[in-house]
Amino acid sequence: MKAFAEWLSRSGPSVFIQSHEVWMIPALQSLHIVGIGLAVGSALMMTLRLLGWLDMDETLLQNQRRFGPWLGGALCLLLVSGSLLVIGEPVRELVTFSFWLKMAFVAALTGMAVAFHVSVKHDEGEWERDLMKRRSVRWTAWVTFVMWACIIILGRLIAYDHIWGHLSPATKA
Amino acid sequence: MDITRWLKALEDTRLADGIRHSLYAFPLLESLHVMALSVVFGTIIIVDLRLLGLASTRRPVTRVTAELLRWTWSAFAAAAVTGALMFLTNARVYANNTSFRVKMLLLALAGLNMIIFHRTALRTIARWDRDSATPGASKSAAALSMVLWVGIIVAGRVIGFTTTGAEAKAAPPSIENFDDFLSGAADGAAPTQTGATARAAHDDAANLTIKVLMDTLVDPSGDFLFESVEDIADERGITHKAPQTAEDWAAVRHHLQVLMDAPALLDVPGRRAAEPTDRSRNPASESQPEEIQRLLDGQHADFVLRAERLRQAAAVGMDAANARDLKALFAAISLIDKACESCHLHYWYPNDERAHQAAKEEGGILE
Repeated sequence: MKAFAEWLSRSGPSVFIQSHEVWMIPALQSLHIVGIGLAVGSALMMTLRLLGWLDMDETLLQNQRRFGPWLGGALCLLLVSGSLLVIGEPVRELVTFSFWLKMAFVAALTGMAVAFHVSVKHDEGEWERDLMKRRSVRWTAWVTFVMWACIIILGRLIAYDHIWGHLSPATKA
Repeated sequence: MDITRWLKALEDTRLADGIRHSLYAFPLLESLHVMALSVVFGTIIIVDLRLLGLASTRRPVTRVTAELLRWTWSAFAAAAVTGALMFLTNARVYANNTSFRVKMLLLALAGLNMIIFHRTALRTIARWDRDSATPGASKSAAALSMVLWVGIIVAGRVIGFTTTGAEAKAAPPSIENFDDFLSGAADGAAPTQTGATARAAHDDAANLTIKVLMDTLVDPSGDFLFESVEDIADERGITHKAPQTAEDWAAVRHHLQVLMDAPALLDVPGRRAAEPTDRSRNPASESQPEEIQRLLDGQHADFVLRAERLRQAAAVGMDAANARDLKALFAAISLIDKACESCHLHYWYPNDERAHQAAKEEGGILE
């Protein structure tokens, strides 16, 4: 991975970002945080609705139609700004334990969001009548909060990867 | 002003010390701050987009906001607490940081925007609550809120790039702010200066002595650079300390820039070496202010040359830092060290035999 990161850091787009990094890296990181805000805001609304904590005057599907596209758009923004950050600083990002653990959480959470979205669309009645009240579903909703928290913490920890000790590949370099 | 002393007192609290010395506290606080602000931003944007008629338009404005705002305010409280804790660890540096000040200003403006919106447009809410298109005043308040909050995020992120992190206890004032520093507008600018030197700095530029410039500009940056690239030998073997993150490299470049710009300030004709009251504690090896002054007055061109050597060494370092070439940076920092030492040997402690011997052994510049 280190070899790949070093190869990537010599590629054209990476060199371009590096040569403008004084403003581009802070700008991309800010854009990434804006994306996190949009994603967390819309995901929070949908999860709280699922838990029955707010917006109970609209159905799950109505709530999902209201926030789903914003979550999808935010995830695209995160993917683009995140990829550019990786291209701009490949070694800083890719040669860390935090980054890869974060990606694992992102993959899992995205899968869960898509599954939830498809399921509500197909079985709206069942969700409203039954599924929403199931303990396992409510627990899953709580788990997603924890996963969001982990993703945000791990994202910030990329800059502090040494705290993982021997788990961090950076300490072996 | 006493604000610097207050800020210093904040840094000296047990809490601040605990956070500074923990491996996990600061990164965790930062993460919690991002979490809290993402909820603040995310929920505010939902309201702003509704007011702009871009989202949730089928729901009345009051229903969109009713259950939302308690989440916004709770998250805002969490962001304020985590932000305050981070501020404590390095209060003087943050208080003097332009991005931090801009962020606080934008936060105040966002608050003001909210208050004005509540006192004006929101009073007539009953008339447009259900409309997908809200009145112009509401729309502009919403658009302004979005711009301000994005600005708050950007300014907040830039703080991390313009302060050197939790370890930066006494960052020197940057050259860009030097006019503020001279005019006394930035009271927290130079935490290392005290008493007589602080007063001298406030009077005018000509009153700044070389010693003050050394204490407040050159030494902190030099120390930072000497400490940022080094080999540390301890019980775990030899580890190489080097800049890793973009923040680290930005800090290295910042301090190299200070060293590149400082010589032009040091060798201004007429600049005095030190205040007469700045007596040496080791007169056997170090010269007193008036002795240094005599040397300086007699050979200004020599001093200019030596100052230029520092600038060139720092410029070599800047090239290395731009290329992220550690080997070249290490070599440049060694050049900087030699440029400093050669000038100090000549003007500051010409009678220090041991220092001369050490410089000879290390291959320093002697003449």
